[in-house]
Order: sequence, then C-alpha cells, then structure tokens
Amino acid sequence: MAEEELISKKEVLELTGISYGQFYRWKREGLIPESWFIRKSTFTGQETFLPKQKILERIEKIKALKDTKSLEEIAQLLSPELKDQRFTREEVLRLSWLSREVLEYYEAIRRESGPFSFRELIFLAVIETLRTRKLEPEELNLAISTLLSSDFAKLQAKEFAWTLVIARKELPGSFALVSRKPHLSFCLLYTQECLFDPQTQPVAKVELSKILEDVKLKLGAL
Amino acid sequence: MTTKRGNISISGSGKATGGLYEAIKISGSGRIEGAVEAETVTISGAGAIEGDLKANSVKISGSGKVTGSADVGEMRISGSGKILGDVRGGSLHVSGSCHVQGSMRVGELSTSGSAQVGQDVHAQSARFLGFAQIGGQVEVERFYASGAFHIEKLLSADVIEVKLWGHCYAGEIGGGKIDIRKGETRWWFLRWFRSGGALETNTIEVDEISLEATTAKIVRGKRVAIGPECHIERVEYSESLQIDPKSVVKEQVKV
Repeated sequence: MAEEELISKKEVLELTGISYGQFYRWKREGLIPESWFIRKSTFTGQETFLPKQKILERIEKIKALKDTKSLEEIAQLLSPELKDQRFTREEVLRLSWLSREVLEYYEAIRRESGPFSFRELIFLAVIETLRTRKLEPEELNLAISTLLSSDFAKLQAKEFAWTLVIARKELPGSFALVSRKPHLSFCLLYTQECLFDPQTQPVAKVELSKILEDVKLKLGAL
Repeated sequence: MTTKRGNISISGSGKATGGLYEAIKISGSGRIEGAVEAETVTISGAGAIEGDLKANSVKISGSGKVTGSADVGEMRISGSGKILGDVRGGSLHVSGSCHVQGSMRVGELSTSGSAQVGQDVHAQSARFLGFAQIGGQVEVERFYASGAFHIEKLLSADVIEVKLWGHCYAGEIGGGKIDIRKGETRWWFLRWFRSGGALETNTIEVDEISLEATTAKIVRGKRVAIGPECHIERVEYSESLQIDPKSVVKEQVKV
C-alpha cells in the first residue's frame, strides 16, 4: 500500500495557523500521539515529520472542540481507551450514524442480550462503514466473521492500531473456469503495512483506530 | 472500613515484611521486604523497600531506596533517594540527590542538588536547582532551571526559564515562551570563576524567544531576541527579530 504522505511540523503550523505554544501543549496533553512523530534528516539537520492527513484532521478536530471542552476532556475523547460504558437499545437507536438494519442484523447474530458494550458499538460502526463500500454480500460476511472471531474480541484498546482490509485476488484462467467468480475474496487485519501482489486489489480498508475515535467523538457530542 | 492497619517501627537495625500499614518508621537501618502500602513512610538513617511503594506521604532524610515503583501523594527527600522503578504522584521535593531509573509523572517537582531520571519526566511544574540529567524527554507546563542540565530528548513547556551556570543541553526545545539567561552572581569577584554557562540544542521552536549564550541549529518563533554569545545557524521568525552584535546568526528568514 502506498506510503503515507508526510508533512513537516513547520508546514503543519503554517497550514493550520496554530502557534508552537499550542502545538506543544496539545502534544503534552496527549492529543497528538507520540507515534506520529517521524524524525528525518534534511539539509537543515533533523526535521520532524507527521502523517499529513492524520495530523491535519486531528488539529481541525481539536480546534472545533477546544472552545467547549477542556484539553483533558478532548484527550479523553481522542484516546484509544475503550469505555466501560454500556448502552441500551434505545440509546443505540438514537445514534444517527447507525442504521436500523445494521442493528437488527447484529441483534439476530448476537450471542447475548441486554445493553451494548462500547466494543460492540465499534463493531457496528465498522459494519456501517463497510456497508457503504461496494462489496459483495459474501465479502461483508467475511468481514463480520473476522470481527466476531474470538481473537478480535480479545483485542485491547492499544491494539486498535489495526486496519481491516478486504481484498480480491484475481484467479488465473483455469481456476476461473471452475469457480463462479473470477476472483477470490479475503479479509485480513494488519497493523502497520500490508503488501499485495499485483493480482490482488484491496477493495475496502477500515482503520479501526479511526472508527474508535469517530464513535467516541460522536458520543461525546451527544 | 473496619480493618485496622498496623504500624512498623524499626530503630536500630531490622527488617519487616511488606503489606498494608498505617505508618512505617525506620530510624537507623531497616529493610522492608515486599511491596508495601502505607499512609506515611518516614526514613531517617538508611532504609530500603524491596518492592513497590504506595504511600500518601514519604519522608526520607538520610538514604532511602525503593527497588520497585513509587506511587506517592507527597515525597520529600533530603539526603539521597534512589527509586529503581517509576515515580508517580502529587509532588516530589529533593534536596540532596535523587536517582529515578524509570519515568516520572508528578504534579510538582522541585530539586536542589542533583537529580537523575532515566526516562521521561511529566509534571505540572518542574524546578531544578543544581544539576539535572534526564534520559528521556521533559514535558511540563512550567520549567525553571538554575544550574546545569542534560535533557536527552525534547524539553517541552509552556514557559521555560533558565539561568545558565554550566553546560546545559536539550535535544530539542518547544513551547510558548522561553527565556535563557546567563547566571550572574552578585559578587563581581566570583564572576571571574563562573562564566561557563551555555546552552546547546538542535532546535528551538517557541513563540516568544529570548536567548543568551545559546548554540542552536534552528530557532523558530514569532518574536525572537538573540542576546549576546549566541551561535545560531538559522533563525526563522514571523514577527520580529533582534540580534545582539556579540552573536552570530548565519541565516535569517522571515516566514
């Protein structure tokens, strides 16, 4: 997969109009994760770079929230900690980003009843995101079974650096003759980088940490 | 709570096992074996806790050692203190010497004498008088130092104030406001001995900058004042720049 586009710290400040004081304060409060800082040597010596899209989005979020919330509250919202909170069916239905069909689908396969955990909300949000991608029904099922597998249920908050990807591998001619479809779909979870051979095309990619953050922000805004 | 905690009191030489206590007092030489939790811990003489320490108030005068981590409301060390794990809590005051091998996360930190921390320091305010050596980064709201320090990585603070008395180093510096001054004694005859104060760093990225005796590769800020005895490769400023004639700035750019 293509390498993330990087931006220097200096450019971040120029683009967003924030001061060094603000930038370093936000970093101290944990609003800008340590792992985003990438040090590289340039002609002026050492420079710090950050993943462009992530940092710009993050700064917009902080700017939007900072007038109504304290930095500590924002840090809470943005941190990858899973909340212990439970949500009743009514509360879940009130979430505007979640469609009724997804919830009902999930209830049909759910093993337990009663209020929903925060982890389950993330699961629902992932399904909701995948639903908007052009996927075959089997591929969606693949993703769901991956997410429902016991390994996923055991993931700890800090391991939400995972990205879920659904990919299609083109089958060579002879296989395509016997298979109904010209490709084979599969779903996998990876943390840092994932390389595919040229016959394989990723069709949907979801960063779990991003979903987690979105769900938290939307809950926080309630 | 109906459970009544006991006390430990060692005078002379002795040892006790860890556990839950109300007060622990060691005068003379004592050793606590195992993790311990207590309301107050007082060590005068030599005391060692072999395990983690959790206490509301800790006072060490003489020498104290904790082989685990310390989680404290307030900790005062006069003499010498050594903590092999991390320190977290409300406040840490040191006069004498203090060596923390792990990281430190406290509200208020003040040391006079020598302080050594193996990893990162996080605090609301940090005040170092004398010598400080930090193996990681220092992230505090207010930073004050008078003396010499070596900060391996980043020094980040809203307000940084330094009186240079010896060689000071920080990998990088970032924040809202910085004021670096050479330490000057009030007695002129002492000035002859003590004039070696200087700061060395790679990058300074602070909005309001005022420097003296500083060597840096890049200085970036809004309002920058370069005082005497500075050697800066490149200054990037957005509002104003002043350079003392006794300083060298190789390149200056208004951005």
